[in-house]
Amino acid sequence: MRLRKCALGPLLCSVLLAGCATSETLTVAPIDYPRRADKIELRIGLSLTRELTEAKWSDASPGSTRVGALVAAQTQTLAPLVFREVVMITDGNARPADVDAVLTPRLLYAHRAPAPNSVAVKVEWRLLRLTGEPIWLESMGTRSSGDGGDAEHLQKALQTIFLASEQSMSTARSIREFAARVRRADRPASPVATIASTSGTTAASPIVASLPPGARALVGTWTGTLTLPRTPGSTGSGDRRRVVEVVIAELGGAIQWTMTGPGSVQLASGSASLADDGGAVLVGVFAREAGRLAGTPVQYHLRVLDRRLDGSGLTGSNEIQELSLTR
Amino acid sequence: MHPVRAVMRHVRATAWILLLAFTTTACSSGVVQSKFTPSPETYAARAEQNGLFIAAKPLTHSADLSEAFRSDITADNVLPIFVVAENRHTTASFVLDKSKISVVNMSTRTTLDRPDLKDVSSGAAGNAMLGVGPILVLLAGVIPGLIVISIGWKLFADARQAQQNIWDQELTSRTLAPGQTAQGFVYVSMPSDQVRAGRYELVIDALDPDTATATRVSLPIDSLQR
Repeated sequence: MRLRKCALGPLLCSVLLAGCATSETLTVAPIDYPRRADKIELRIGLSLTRELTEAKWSDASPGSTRVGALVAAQTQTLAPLVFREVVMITDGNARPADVDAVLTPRLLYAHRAPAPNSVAVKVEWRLLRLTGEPIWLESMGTRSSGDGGDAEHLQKALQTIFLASEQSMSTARSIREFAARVRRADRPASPVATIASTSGTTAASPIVASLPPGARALVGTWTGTLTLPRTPGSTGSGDRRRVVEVVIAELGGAIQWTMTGPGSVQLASGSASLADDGGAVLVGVFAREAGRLAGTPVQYHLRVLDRRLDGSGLTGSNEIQELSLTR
Repeated sequence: MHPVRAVMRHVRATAWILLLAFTTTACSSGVVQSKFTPSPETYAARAEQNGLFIAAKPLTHSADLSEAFRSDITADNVLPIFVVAENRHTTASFVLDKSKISVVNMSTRTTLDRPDLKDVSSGAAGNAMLGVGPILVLLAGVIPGLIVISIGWKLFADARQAQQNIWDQELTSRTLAPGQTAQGFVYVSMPSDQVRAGRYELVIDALDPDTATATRVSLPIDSLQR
């Protein structure tokens, strides 16, 4: 009798608490932004700080979900849709001197509460001149509650926030006025960095001359494998591993990368930079040909080992991939 | 069956039913999302400078606190001040940076600290009961233990919802184009004896992003409860 009582207590407690507990597996689907006729004519530096990428739930509840990494990944998709040109700035990298302004997102909080289950998120945007004076500050927050787990609520909250942010950023009067003033100023137009224009005329550019030596060492053609995580449909490691080629090139003062699969199908592209630990950071978005990953942002952190680059990447859908390349 | 045993069986069955009902209630708390929007004529202080209009209202009445947060956060020595900012300028925008909004104690001329919102309505009592509950299950039996866990869970869930109300409604950094309005709470920490009986000054330094010129709006606030 005593034994039964002892066993019953913890069992009931677990059932009671599990009933109100929240899930830890979080994903964010690609956001369908409205198509706009014109981008803001600014070349901005996008600063994704370590504080952001490592930010977790801010209510001290258990769990290792990096909510900030999801915000960072979504930002990498949003910024190029709003601004003419985006240059990545990661912690430890020198701030590019030739950008017009620096955009920094910050996760103010990601808070979850039970009964009824709800998730509240607020993101702050700071667009500053290079002198540090503000051009535009905005805070976008929302709360998603009701039926559904944390993953569902976080996805809804981030979608709402990023759609509202896109709207606010694209139409902000102070940003448009700043862009008009920059355009009016007598400054030569910066070369537009696109993967398609790989004519290699940038060697003479004074901007390219300012690239750190380590960054230049990344330039070249790398081949290897991209290993995707196990999915319900996968039967073994064979169908999760893809042979890829990654071309890293200097374009318009920035380092750009393109990943192609068998048959020269473009899988992803984006910009590359050096982290403060000497590693390479490749941020970008999967192309339409990448199947289920189409439109998903990704960020790879790779170790640079002479003729090898290897490490892992986190996608906007919170999927971890392994990338191993040799020159 | 012995009559005492029969009565005990009844008591036990009733206790289980009550416990089940309470647990169900605890898992579907009635706490709802709150948005405080007082009518403009109730603002205790108003001021306008260069087209930037600011109105403020400190919240100290229990009914207002309950409506806004579902919790009396003054018990955590926090004074919430509801602030409305409106850009009435015809052409200029104003950047409201949260770090450039301060509250000064008029008697000591010191700037009051901002509280760490993680510590406000943290649900410590609920957490403690949730910790004690399982031990009680083992030591005193299933029913008393589960009752403590259920009460603890409800307190914890209510506190978390109240915390979201607090975080959600904070006045955070914004840029106001002509005609735009922002509103929310500025939270300040202060000793418990001064929350409801103090004279303060709200100071907002806004910046015109086009000309980089600053506009300062100051307005006195009296948190005296009437």
